[in-house]
Amino acid sequence: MLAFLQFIVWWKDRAARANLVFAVGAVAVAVFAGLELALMRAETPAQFDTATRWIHVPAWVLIVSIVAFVRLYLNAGRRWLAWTVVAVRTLALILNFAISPNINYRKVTALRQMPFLGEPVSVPVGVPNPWMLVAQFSLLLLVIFVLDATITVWRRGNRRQALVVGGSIVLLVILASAQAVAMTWGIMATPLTVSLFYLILVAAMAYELSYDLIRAARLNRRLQASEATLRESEQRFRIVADAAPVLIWMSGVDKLCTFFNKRWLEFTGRSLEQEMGNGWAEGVYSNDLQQCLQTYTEAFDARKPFVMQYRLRRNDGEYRWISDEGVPRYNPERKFVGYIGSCVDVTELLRQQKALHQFEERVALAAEAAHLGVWELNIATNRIWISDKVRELFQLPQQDEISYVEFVQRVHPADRAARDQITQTAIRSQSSYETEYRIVLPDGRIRWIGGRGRCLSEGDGKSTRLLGVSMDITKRKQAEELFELATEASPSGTVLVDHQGRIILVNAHIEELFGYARDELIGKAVDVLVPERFAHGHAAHRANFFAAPEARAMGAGRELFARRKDGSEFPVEIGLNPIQTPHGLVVLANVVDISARLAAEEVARRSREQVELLSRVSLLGEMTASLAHELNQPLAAIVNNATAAMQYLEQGKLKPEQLQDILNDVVADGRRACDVMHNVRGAIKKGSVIRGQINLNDVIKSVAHMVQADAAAQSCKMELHLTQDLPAVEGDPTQIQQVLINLVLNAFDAMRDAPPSRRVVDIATNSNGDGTIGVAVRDYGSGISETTRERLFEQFFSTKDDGLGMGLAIVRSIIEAHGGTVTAENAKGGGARFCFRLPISEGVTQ
Amino acid sequence: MTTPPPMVFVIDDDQSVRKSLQRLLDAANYKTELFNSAFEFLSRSAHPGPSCIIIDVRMPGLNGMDLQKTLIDCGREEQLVFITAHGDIPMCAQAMKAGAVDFLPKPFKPKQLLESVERALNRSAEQLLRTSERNHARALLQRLTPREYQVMELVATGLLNKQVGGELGMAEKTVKTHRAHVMQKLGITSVAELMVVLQRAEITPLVKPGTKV
Repeated sequence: MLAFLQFIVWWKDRAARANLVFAVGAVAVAVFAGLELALMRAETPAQFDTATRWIHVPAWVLIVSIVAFVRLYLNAGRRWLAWTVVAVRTLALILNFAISPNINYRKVTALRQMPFLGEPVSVPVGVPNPWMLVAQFSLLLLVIFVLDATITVWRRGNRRQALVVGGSIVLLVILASAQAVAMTWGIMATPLTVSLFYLILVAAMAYELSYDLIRAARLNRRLQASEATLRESEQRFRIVADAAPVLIWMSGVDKLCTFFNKRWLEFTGRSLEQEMGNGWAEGVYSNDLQQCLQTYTEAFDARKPFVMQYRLRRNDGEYRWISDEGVPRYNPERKFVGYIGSCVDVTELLRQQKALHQFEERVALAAEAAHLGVWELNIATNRIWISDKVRELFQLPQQDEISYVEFVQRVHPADRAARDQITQTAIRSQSSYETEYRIVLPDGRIRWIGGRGRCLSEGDGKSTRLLGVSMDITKRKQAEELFELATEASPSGTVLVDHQGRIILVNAHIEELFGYARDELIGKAVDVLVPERFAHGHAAHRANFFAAPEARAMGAGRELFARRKDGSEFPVEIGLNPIQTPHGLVVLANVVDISARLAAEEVARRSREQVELLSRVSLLGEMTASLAHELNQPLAAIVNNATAAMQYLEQGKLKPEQLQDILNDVVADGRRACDVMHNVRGAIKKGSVIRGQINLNDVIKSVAHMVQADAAAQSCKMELHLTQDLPAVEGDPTQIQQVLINLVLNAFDAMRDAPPSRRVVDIATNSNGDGTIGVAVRDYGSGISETTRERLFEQFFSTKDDGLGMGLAIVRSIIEAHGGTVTAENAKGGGARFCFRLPISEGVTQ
Repeated sequence: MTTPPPMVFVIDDDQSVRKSLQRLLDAANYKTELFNSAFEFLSRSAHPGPSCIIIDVRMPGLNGMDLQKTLIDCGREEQLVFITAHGDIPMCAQAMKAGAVDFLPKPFKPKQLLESVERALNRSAEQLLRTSERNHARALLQRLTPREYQVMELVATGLLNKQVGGELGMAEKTVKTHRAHVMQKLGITSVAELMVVLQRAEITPLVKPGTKV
């Protein structure tokens, strides 16, 4: 009856396996009792043997069930001991059937009838089987096992269970075993009544199990009370759910939805009835539906949480992206009761994410294209993600995850602190930074990195990420270094100015020139270097330059002045060179202090003027014969004529016609003297150059006239070979005259020692094909010696004892000032030939 | 015997100077003749009367100094007055040494020029006179025989007849005869007169080395 009851219990609750074991054990005890009865009623030893043999089957079952009960119900006892008990008992059972007649007796010789509780029962008399020890050993093991389990339970604190179950089992198994042993070994002649003990054992176990049942009933009552509470909390839950800002749904174990919160219904614009069950699926965008249902059912069947995104129609008909997060829900008995899920509209988020993603992709692409390495540092975790380019730049291992520490270790020790400070500042102030630093590559090489970064914080205002780009600026740095070196080494003052007119760079020359220290100038407006009276105009000039930047000299046609720190000014020459840089257009200005040069030029100009004057004076000196002749001739004639007239007058024979004649001649000679004076003044006048169209033939003729007296004095003849219709040249007639006079007088001098018949000077003109006119002055003297030729045109070089050495130097400077050339050579047939060429005046055609 | 009139020749390549000089000389009653160059002048035959040449030193072709040299080489007697628009001292010295009357830088004082011209003409006249006396004396001397000439030369040195005879290896009597012929032919009576003839003829008496004078 008990067995049946417990079996029912097990049937109802498969988990209650202890009850099943108990049931089996109870049945075994019943069978055991039946067989014992058969033993008692046995009439022949054969019958007894058979009953004894079979009685071991329920015994085995009972022992196994006890072991199982202890394991299951008490949840104690050593597992190996349990299995040993079962194994030994099973061995005993096998031996029981293998050995004839059974394990108890080798031979039952006779049955004795004895009274037992008023009934006559059979008691065997025979030889006990030594194998019986195996069965008894198994019982001993069982006792040990149960004892061990009981102690464990006792220690666990569950003393009642230990006493009732463990204690009773130990006691009763010992008693039963002792009785059976005593009977079998013939110590005590009693019928086998082991089942009695076992019955008591079963009763104890039944008590214990029924105790469980009572407890379960108590629990059930408590459960019912809590269910009421739960219902109340569910009510509360609905209120809360309705108030929640998210869309909430619930489904039952059948996957069908049972609840949607108010928010959901408002969102979809549908009623609860429409949405219930699978009604909600109607609002899902058709393309997303299949995926949505699949995710839901798969997660549902596995009882796993899920997150999915799908488009759900909003009340206005627009499909919005929804992120749906579902979790299985259980009742307090841990029983699965369905799913609950919450949804948020993530359309905006997705759009932002997509935009961000696209932006990030573009950034990454751009970065890759620009050879920029990109990295991202999570401030909280200090983990860093780096792009392949960064790995390449920093030569970090390709695959491994890199820690920020490893990343920073690459930075040159000298730059590490500065870089760290900059990034920390950016993180603190959540701003951007820009830095340049060196890294040391594994092979020891140094590489310059230009880095920009920005600290990005999430909505909570906490700094979370530091985004950075890095690029290799080694070449630029090297170029910069070179540039700075070159600038520093530049012989002129160098200023680099940005488009706002601020000074970026100066070299040592500038410091020297302007009296400023470098630091005083960097970042200042370049106008501080300009005198105040020009500063206003300077800004406008600068604007013009930036509008059309090209390398040129500054302030063409104007005199430029610069201002020193002490306010003094000095003349400068400034060259401007625009440079396109990544930071915009900058201007490289080269400043040269030209005060020394101007002074030197002034000195040179003065000395040149003096030399020129001297040369003119000396030329006049050379020309004294001609000049005196030119002047004295008319003067003498005048005096003669006047004296003659007076004589005639005294003698009273002066006729009016004669007087007229004389006076005409006097006037003519007076004019002639005036002309000579005019010429002299022209020749000696300093400086001013009168440029005009010159007919060289005319100049030559006038010169031939002027030096006629010198020619006569030295018995030289002049022969002119003039090409007619010469184009004009441009120049100062007086200067060209001077050149010719010099050359002709030189020619006369050269022939001093020549026989009179050879004393001829040829003067020839010819029009060259190359746009120049040539004039040649040739003498028949001794020619030019090799040693002389080289220094011929030098100042203060003369072959004459009384020569100043100015003549040919003046000739050359005049001709070159006229854009011409002058040469000297020895002519065929003896003598020297001096030639000069002058360019034909432009725009003049003969 | 009629003396040809004095002439002043002007050689200057400057026409206005030439013309003004002609006027000046004309006013001073000198006869003048004008030449553009020295060559032009030389192509004219020499003037027999007193002559003065006014010449510019510097001229193309033959200049003043060259003309002076040429005239001296030809033994002509014209007196030279140099004028120059640009005189220099070496030239002046050379010209004066060669017998120029004056060296005047232009512009000169007309009076100074006229004085120089007058002096030149006087000197030219004297020169002409001396020349005619010399020619006369030389003509007389040429009438002597060589032997008479030898005796005359020795007598002129102051030797006695006996000494002359000893020198020439002839008798004193013979010397006396030759001496008488010389006196007769030369139209003189004393040794002093002989010395004057020799001086006019511009012949320097022989001075034998070792003889006492």
